[in-house]
Amino acid sequence: MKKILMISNPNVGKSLLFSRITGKGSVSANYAGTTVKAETGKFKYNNREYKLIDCPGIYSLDEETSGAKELLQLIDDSDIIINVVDATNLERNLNLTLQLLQLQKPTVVCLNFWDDTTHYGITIDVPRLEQILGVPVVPVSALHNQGIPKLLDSLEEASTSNLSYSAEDHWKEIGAIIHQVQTLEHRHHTLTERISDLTLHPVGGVIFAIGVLLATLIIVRFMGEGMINYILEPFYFDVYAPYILNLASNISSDLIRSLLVGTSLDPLETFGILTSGLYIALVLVFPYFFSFYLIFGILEDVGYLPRLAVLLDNIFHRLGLHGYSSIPIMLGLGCKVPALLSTRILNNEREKILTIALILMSAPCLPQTAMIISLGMNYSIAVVLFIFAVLLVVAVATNVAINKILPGTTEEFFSEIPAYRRPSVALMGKKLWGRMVEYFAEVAPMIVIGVLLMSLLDYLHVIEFLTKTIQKPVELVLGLPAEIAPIILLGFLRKDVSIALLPPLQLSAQQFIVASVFLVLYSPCIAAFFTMLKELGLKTQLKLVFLIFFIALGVSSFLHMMFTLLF
Amino acid sequence: MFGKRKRQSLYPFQGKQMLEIDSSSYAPTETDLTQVEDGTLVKVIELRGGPTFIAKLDAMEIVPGTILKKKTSTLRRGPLVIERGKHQLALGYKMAQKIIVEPQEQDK
Repeated sequence: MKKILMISNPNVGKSLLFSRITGKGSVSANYAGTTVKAETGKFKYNNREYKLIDCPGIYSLDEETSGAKELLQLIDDSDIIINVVDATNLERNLNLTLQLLQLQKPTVVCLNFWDDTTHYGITIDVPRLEQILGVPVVPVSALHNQGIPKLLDSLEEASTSNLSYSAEDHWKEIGAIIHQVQTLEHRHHTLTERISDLTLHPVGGVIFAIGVLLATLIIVRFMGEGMINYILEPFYFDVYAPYILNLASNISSDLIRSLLVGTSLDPLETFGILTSGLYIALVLVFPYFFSFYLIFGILEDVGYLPRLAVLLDNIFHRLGLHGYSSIPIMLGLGCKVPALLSTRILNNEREKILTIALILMSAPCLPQTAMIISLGMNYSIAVVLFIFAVLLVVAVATNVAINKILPGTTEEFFSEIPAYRRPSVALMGKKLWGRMVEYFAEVAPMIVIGVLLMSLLDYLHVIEFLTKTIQKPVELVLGLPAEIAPIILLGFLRKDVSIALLPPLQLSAQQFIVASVFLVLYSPCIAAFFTMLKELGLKTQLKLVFLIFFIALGVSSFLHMMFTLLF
Repeated sequence: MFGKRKRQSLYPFQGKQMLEIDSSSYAPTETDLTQVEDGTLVKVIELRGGPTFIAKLDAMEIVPGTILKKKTSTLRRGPLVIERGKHQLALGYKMAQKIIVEPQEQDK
């Protein structure tokens, strides 16, 4: 079976092409750096089986470029190379092409975005280009699924090239080739270009960004709550729960029954994996996960994210972060789980840790935020603002501190700003579907396992014991009534519910502030906890979790002390 | 530097002469990318950085001789956006300071 390697500059449609050829879903979006690791797939064509490998884009095989060495090894291992080229940016893409041709591997050049060349007034003489390069050149539109059979046909004709060129003057040589094969018509500024200028404007861009952020949060909130209230909760309480509880009543063993369905009708009171586990994973977390990814997918494919990263890069650098970290953090305002998953786009470990710290501490997830606002308003708007101000200060201070402690520096911003594109609804739908499948395959099981653990601990009376032990310290250090102890433990399962359980405690405004700050900071929710584990590995994660817990304790007790002294 | 100053004060009537010599030894004013106005068309004259810096820029076809347009800058030393044809690239302020340029005749 022949091994085919797809190589190209970032953001030229390689992943979508991969997806079209292998039928395997692949995440693609309109910014450089979407694909973070190599993906393999198989396909059959003309009665031949092939193995296809998609890897992250690269601009040059220059040894100074990061990733070049690994890629050269991959190339060594492969039989055929498909060099995907952005037909609307032929000049820059040819740099990599010429370097690849020097490696003397059978190659085929694929001109993607062929449909866009007419829009941009670009004409390319394909036969002439083929002649010059010495390898098959096939125009393709991965988006519209055109030209792909011809591409696959050409695989058997992949050849090595006789083209030699002087590496010293490579841009001059490329310029000469372009001159022979490409003609450009003059175009007027298009509407998308004007919009792009606005969104990058130092002042206008920031205002636009705030607008986008607010709109996103509002839409996600409505969608998330709508799904919970009108679809999922009715489903759970009216259809699923009665059915499963009925089935479970046939189980004789008390232990097994309580592990499976808990001991109460309220899924948040006890820990049954089939009840609470499902309830948390499907009814509580999933709607926000889904809604956020829906909006995010649109922003991604339109191409807005790199512009946002540019605007925020400056501020982020003071926190030791990179502009691209703005994407995970924006997601974190909705739900921490997609935020943590998206830290994969960051290049190095250091940035990842700093970003995750900021995600966990900077702001509560949307359900929790909503709960704090609705309950806090009962006291006063000042209470609400004060809580969020404290959280922001703590997050920034923590990040500045971690930044100083962790060795290394943040890279300077350096990224292509892609043109705005009208996203394809079909593609976005496919991507959303893929992400939801990933949720149910990876995240939901982790939640269920967590619930199982809690259930076992509950059965072994460990939870009761813990609640009794922390009662006194909590009263002393945080100034909160003893009844808050079980709420703190519950908050691990679901953060907003823990806030919702505060009213019966009749807290004063100061107590509410201390309680809210503590409940937001002390621990990530169970879903986020296990997602973090996957992204960071056990050691780093535990360090971070303990650090954050102590900061939560420290800040809350400080606030408590301050309030006692002042009032 | 302190040495020169001392000498200046010892020979006050030669002060002017020394100043003249000093001023001619100043380097000619060079412009880097952060110093030109938004919307200016420039030619890249020199790249003052290490091999990784040069390789990164080379991959984007930013080499001595390249003509590009400085599109926008962000507030307070944030990244700059430059444009070649219809392709845009954002790069950090410190990186832009290492790109020495020469303004060109502006055309539409």
